[in-house]
Amino acid sequence: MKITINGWESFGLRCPDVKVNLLKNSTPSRVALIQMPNGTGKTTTLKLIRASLTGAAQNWSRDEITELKSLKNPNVQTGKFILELSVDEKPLVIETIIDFVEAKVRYRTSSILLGGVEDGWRPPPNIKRFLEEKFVSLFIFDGEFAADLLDSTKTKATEAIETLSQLDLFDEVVSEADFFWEKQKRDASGTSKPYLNSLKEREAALTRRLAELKKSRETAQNDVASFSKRLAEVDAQLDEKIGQNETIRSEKDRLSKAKSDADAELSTALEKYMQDLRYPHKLYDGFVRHLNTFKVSLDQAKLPDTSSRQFFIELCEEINCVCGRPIGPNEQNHIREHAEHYLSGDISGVLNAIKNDINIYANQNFDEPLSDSRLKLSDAQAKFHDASTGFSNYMLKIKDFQDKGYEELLKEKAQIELEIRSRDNFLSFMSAPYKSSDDEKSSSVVSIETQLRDMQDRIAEVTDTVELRERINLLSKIATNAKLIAKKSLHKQLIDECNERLSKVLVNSPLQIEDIDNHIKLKGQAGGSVGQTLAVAYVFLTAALHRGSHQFPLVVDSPAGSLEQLVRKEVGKVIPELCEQFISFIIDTEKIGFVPALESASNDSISYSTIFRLNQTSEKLIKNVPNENIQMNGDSVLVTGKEFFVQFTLDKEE
Amino acid sequence: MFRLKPEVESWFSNIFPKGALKSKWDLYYLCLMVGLGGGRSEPVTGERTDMVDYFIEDYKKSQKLIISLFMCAELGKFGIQFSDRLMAKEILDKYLNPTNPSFLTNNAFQRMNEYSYGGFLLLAENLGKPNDQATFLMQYEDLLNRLANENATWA
Amino acid sequence: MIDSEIKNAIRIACGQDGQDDDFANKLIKWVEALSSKSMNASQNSDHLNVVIKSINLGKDKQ
Repeated sequence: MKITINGWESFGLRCPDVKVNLLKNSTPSRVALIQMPNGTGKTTTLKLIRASLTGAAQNWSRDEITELKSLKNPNVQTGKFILELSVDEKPLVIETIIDFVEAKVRYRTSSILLGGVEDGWRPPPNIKRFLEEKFVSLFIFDGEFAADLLDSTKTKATEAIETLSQLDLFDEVVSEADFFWEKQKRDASGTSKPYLNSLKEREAALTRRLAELKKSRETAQNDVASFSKRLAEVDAQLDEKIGQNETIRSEKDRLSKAKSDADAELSTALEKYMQDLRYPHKLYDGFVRHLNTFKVSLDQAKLPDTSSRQFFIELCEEINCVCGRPIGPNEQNHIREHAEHYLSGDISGVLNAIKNDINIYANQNFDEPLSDSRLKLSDAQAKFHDASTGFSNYMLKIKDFQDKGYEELLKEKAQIELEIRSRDNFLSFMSAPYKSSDDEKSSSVVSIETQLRDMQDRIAEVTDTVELRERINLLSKIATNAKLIAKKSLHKQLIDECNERLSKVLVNSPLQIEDIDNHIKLKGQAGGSVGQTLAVAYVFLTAALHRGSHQFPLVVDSPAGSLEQLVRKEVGKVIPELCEQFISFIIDTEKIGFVPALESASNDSISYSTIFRLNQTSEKLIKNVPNENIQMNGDSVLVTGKEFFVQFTLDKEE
Repeated sequence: MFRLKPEVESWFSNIFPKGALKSKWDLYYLCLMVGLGGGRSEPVTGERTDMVDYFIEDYKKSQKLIISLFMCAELGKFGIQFSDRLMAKEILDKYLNPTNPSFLTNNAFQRMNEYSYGGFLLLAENLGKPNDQATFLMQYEDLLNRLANENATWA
Repeated sequence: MIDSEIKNAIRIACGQDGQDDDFANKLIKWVEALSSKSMNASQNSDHLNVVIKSINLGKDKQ
C-alpha cells in the first residue's frame, strides 16, 4: 500500500485560495517544503487535509464550520478543498464542499475504481483502515505529538504500534467470540460443570431404575405367559370332562351360543357408537353452539369476501376499471394496497366449504343423536353381561354333577385367573403415562423412559453449552496470548531497527531506545532534550509506519521549531531517508540549518513553495520574481522556487 | 404432520387395535376432542411418532368441523372476537393452507398435536387404563361433556 | 493482508496451548478475513464457527 499526496486546491476558506502542486514529472518530490507565515491559514490547511483523509468533516459542528470561513470575504457561501492523492499509483481525489449558509459539509470522491465522480466520502475499501482518525494522526501531526510518544504519562507509543501493526485484530477476535457466546448461550444458569455432573448422576439413577422395572416387567410377562398356558390346559381338561355328559354339553353349547350372539350384537352397537363419536357435533352440544357462532361471526366479518385478492390484483393490470373509469398509477397503488385486506381465492374456497359443512351437520338435526346409539350400546352391553354371567354361573353350578377332579380344576382355574389379573394390573400400572409430578421413583416404565429421554436431551444441550463456553474461553486465551507474543516480537524488532537508525541520526549524542512500554523509554536517561526527543520520535514513527511495506506521506507542522541547530542539521539529513514523501509546513525562522540539510539528503527531489497574503510589506518581495513562478488569486500568493523561499522573510510575523 | 406419542398407544394397548378402534387416527381424534373440550394443550417433545398429514377416510366428513372447532378453541383461548375482520384474517392465514389436502398450515398441525397430547393427559389423569371398549367409550363421552362444561370457552 | 508477526504469534500461542497446525491455520484465515474489513455478519460467523469447532479442548490429554 502506497499513499502519496499530489497536491491540493482551496478556495473560499480561511486559508489562501491556492492550488498547490507537489508533482515533479508526475511523481511527488521526496521533500516538499511549504512556507506559510503564521496567520496565513496553516492550521486550517492541515485540518482540511486530515479531514479529507478521514471523512470526519461530515460530523463537524456549526461553530467548527463557521471558523473555516474566509475572513477577507465574509459573504462567501461555499468553500471547497480538493485533495489529490495517489493510492498505489492510481489517482484518488477527495473534494470537501462546505456550505456556510446551511453549515453543512459534503464530500465528493473520484477514482478509477468508482469510474468517475460520486457523492460522498468513498475511498477504496482496502485503504479505509489506514484512514481511521487514530491512524492518520500517526502521519499528519505537529511537533507536540512527537514529544507525547516519549511522555511517560501517555500511551501514544503503544497505541501507535497497535494501530500500525494490527494488534487490535486480537482484541477483535476476543470481542467477536464474546458476542458469539452471548448469541448462543441458551441457559446461563445451567452451564456449569457441577450442574452437568448432577444431571449425569440423575441420568444414571434413571437408567438403573429403568433396568429394575424392565426386569420385573419381564418377570410378570413371563408369569402371565406360563399362567395362560396352564389356563388353556385347564380349560381343555374341563371341556373334556363336560363333553362326557350329554345334557350338560348341550346346555353349555346353548349358553355359549347366546353369549357369542350377544357379543356380536355388542360389536355392532359399538361400531355404530364409535361412528357417531367421529362427528364432533354429536359429541357435545356446546360444540354445536360454537360451530354456529363461528359461522355467524364469519358472516358478520363478511368472510369469505365476495371478491378475492386476485380479483383486485388482476384489476390493476387493466386499463379501465369495471366501472369504466381509467386506472392510472395512483389508482393501481390504491387498489394494490386495498387488495391486502382480501383473502386469497383459495382460502375463500376453504371457508365456504367450512360454512357449508357447519350448515349441513350442525344447523339441523338431520340424523339420530348420539344418545340413540349410546342407548343401544348400553343395552347390548347389558345383554352381553347377562349372557356371559349366565354362562359362567352354569359352569360353576355343574361342578356338583362332576367328579372331584372337575372341582379341583375349577378351583385351579379361578386361582390362575386371579394371578393373571393381578399381574395385568401391575403391567398396566407400568405403562402409565408420564405425569409432571413423577420422579425417578415412579413405577411406570413409560414415565421413566420419558424422564430418561428428557434428561438425555438436557444433558446433550448443557454439554454443548458447557463445551462452547470452554471453547470460547480457550479461543480468547489464545488470542490474548498471541497478542502478547506479537507485541513482544514487534517491540523488539522496532527497538532494534530504531536504535540502528538512531545511531546514524544522532551521531554526536547517541540516544538509544531501551523499551517501548506505553511510551518510548530511553536508555540511561529519562528523556533527551526537546530536539533529541523529536528525532527519536521521527525515527520511531517512520520505522513503525513502513512496516509491512506500506508507504505513507509524513506531513509535519513546524518540524524544526524547537530543534537545536545541530540537531536540525542531523534530523534534516536523515528525514528524506526515513520516508518517501515528507511534506513540511514551516515558518521562515525554522529554515536555518534544517533546509540545507534536507536539500542535500533529498537528491534534488525537493520542492519549495511559499504561500502568503499580499500586503504592503510582501508586495515589494515579488517585484523581481518571474511570472511563471507566481500564482495570484485575489490577495493570496503562491510563489514556487528555492530562491524566493530561502530569501522570504517578513520583518514582523503576524 | 399429525403426531401421536408412543405412550398414548401403550395406554390404549388393551383396547387398541381391535373392535371399533381401528386406526391411530381414532386415538388421535379421541384425545384431540378432549384437549379441545378441556382446553388443555401440552408441548409435544422427545420421541414422536409421525402419523399422516391428511384426514383419513373415517374423518373426511368431519374434517371441516374438526378444523372449525380447533379454530374456536384457539380464538377462545386468546379471547379473539372473530367479527374483527383483520384479526380474523390473520388467524385464517395462520392456520389455513388451502393447498394442503388437510387445509392446515404447519402452525395448525403443531397446535392440534399439542391439544391432542393435552387431551390424552386429561384422559389418563381421569380414567384408569381402559380394558373394555364399550365401557371406555361411554366413560369417554361423559368425561368430555364434564370437562367441556367446566371450560369457559364452550360455556 | 496481515503481518507475518501476527501469523507467527498465532502459531506460537496455539502451540503453547497444545493446538495443532490445522487450528492455527483456521484462526489465521479468520484473522486475515477480519483485517480485510469486508466480511458480512454471516461470513464472519461461518469463520468463527469453524474456528470454535476445531479447537482441541484437550480432553484426551487429561
